Amino acid sequence: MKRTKKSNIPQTQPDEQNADMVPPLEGDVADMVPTLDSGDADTVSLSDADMAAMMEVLEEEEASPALPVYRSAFMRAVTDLYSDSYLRLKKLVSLCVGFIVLGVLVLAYLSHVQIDGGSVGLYRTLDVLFYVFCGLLLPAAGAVGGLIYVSLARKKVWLSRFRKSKLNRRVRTFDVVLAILIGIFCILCIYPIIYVVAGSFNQGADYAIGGVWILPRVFTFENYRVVLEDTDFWRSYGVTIARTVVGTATALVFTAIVAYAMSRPNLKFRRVFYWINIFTMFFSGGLVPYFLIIRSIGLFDSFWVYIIPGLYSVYNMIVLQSGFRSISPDIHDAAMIDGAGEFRIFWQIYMPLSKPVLATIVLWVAVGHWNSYFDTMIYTSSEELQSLQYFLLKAIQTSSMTEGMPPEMMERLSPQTLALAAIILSIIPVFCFFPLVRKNFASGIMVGSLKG
Amino acid sequence: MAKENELLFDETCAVSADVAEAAPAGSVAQKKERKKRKRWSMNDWVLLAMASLSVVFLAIFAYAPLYGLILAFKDGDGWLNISHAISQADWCGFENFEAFFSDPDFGNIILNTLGLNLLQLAINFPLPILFAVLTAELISNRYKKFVQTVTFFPHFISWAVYGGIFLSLFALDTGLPALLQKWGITGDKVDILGGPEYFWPIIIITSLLKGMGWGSVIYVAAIAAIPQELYEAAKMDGANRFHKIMYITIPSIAPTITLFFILSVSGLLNNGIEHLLVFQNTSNIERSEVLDTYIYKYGIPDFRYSYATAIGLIKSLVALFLLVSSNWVCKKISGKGIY
Repeated sequence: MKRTKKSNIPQTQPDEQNADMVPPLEGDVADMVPTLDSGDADTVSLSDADMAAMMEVLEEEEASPALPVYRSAFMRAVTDLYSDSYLRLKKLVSLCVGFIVLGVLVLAYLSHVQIDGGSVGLYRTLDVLFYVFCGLLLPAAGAVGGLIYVSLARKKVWLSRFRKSKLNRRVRTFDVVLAILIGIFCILCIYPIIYVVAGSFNQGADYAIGGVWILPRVFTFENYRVVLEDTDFWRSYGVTIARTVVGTATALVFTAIVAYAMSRPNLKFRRVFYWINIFTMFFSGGLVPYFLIIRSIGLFDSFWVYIIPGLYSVYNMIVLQSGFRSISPDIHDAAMIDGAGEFRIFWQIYMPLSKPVLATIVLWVAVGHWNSYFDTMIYTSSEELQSLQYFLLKAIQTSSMTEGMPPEMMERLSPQTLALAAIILSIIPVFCFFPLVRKNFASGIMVGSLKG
Repeated sequence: MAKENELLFDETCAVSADVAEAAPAGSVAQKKERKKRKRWSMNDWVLLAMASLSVVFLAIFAYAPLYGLILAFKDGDGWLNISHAISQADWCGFENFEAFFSDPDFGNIILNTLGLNLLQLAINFPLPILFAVLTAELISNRYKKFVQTVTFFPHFISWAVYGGIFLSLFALDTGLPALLQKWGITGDKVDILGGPEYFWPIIIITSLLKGMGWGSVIYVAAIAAIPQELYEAAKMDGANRFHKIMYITIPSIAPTITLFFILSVSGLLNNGIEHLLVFQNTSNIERSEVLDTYIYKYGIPDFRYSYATAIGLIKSLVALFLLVSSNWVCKKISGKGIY
């Protein structure tokens, strides 16, 4: 085990002249530990992936020299590089501390802001809660201190086993400037959302004065209450959910069926089918003939106008088809020999095997359904079929949400804050699904690279 | 994962190559085989039925509208039933086209359509590439992930909502204009939403904020696929960071850039109508009216079907011409096109 020996050379050993021609084995180990000293605030905390990579290295090194001996069993457990008890501990502590700090911040804000219709009792409760959370800050600080101590101990163990990576870069001015610039762009991207949250919790009449930018000035839940009681809002919400679910499911199945057939080399007239499909990508009839077709086949102003025209898209078909082609033809042959028909092979073998690609298509189609409003504008005329986005657009552009309200309510509410509250309510589902999107992102990139 | 990625990638390249090259070479063998067994098996029929679904769909939703293009040469304004309009309306030759070219708004519309799109091509096309290259240079992986998450998020929000938020951000009395006046930057409140001269900047900036993160995805993927050995070798040869970007990263993602360039050039007459309609209003119409909105306005609410169809036909033809020619140019320059 040459590697073991090499990697245990103490830090102090001068091998500067070796630095340029890093021996391959050392470089290997160094590669496995990319986050160490890479400029993060807490250097020793490792992500799960790094842990896994590290474990792989370690598995070959069972016979390496003994760990430094710690007195308590607890310290031994958390500084053990093999087990994930440290990660679990860290997660727990950061969750609790995060909760407490967030609570303190929110309450510090709430107990000092004017609350619309707030009573003395409410203010007092908030004050008490604020002090309780401030009291909780002490144990939280203790926990953070303990965590830092543990991570320092881990770092020591770590350094006794691995050399510092030579491939890690030094942080330069360029890096800092770059990080700051990109950070500014991120803030610009996300600021509109912050603005909406602030506005939606602000009292309408107060908002109309202007100047609500980051935090609400007069706090209230009234906007949300009014929006949640609005039947038009809920109806359009229902329409959008229905069209997203039904539309995505049907489009996926329909497109996948065609894509499977197109991916089979034994499809008759394949070239004909191919060009029939491709031609539509190059040349289209335009908006008005399409609209007239929709009218004359009776889809105008029916719910199905959201579903049927979206059943199929050539672009998604091509992506799915390449996904199917990446499955080994041997699987197809084996299933054939076992007596399965083409449709069965498609449904029971190819579909489950191409989940990542399918997930990406689902993502595209579902986002498209959730976000579109132009089709509501063109193809429907009745209020019952209004999609959520169109409802929101109307609420923002024409202040339609306060129509027909009694004047005493109009004094306190403004159409803008109501629209902002409706916007937040419409974003919530996207927010809930966003982590899923992030998870499938790797596959998304994969499919994305297909285009190239 | 990486291997799978490569596989998929190869396969796609193979799709076009397959159709273009393999077919003539294999045609002799195919003919022989066809003669050998004339009867099709059940599975052939099943596959044919599956593929025919697309033909049925496209016949209705893509080819029937092509037939509807006849309307462009007929005086069919105001007819509700397309088959009646096509069969019964009078022929009028190129009158619809002439009417459009002599429209007083014609110059403005073309200027806006091309101006907005060329600006987008000049700003919104290269910036995602730059963004992808720069994010790849970030040291901390965790920060990189954070940046990606945050910049993606706006993509998943509709234009109705994201644009709507800007409508209230730029509102005259409560939004940015009031703030600028308070700080003394502008003397009077500037009507950002109403002023025609602000419409183009609004469109460019909002589409950057919403689309830059997502637009860079493809380039991020392309950069991730570059083998690390190239960078290490370059480092040994004494390349600094900018050398590495200029001589490794950019050339490696050049094919992807070419492809997306062709696609954006062919969309030169398309403006995101869902985007524009949010910000368009009667006071900025002079700078905000583009072909897409014009077609919509005359075609759907005004029932001037033939007129709008004629304009749509011009647009489709120009788009086809742009696609073919930009593909031809790219083939000449880099030896690779999209078909």
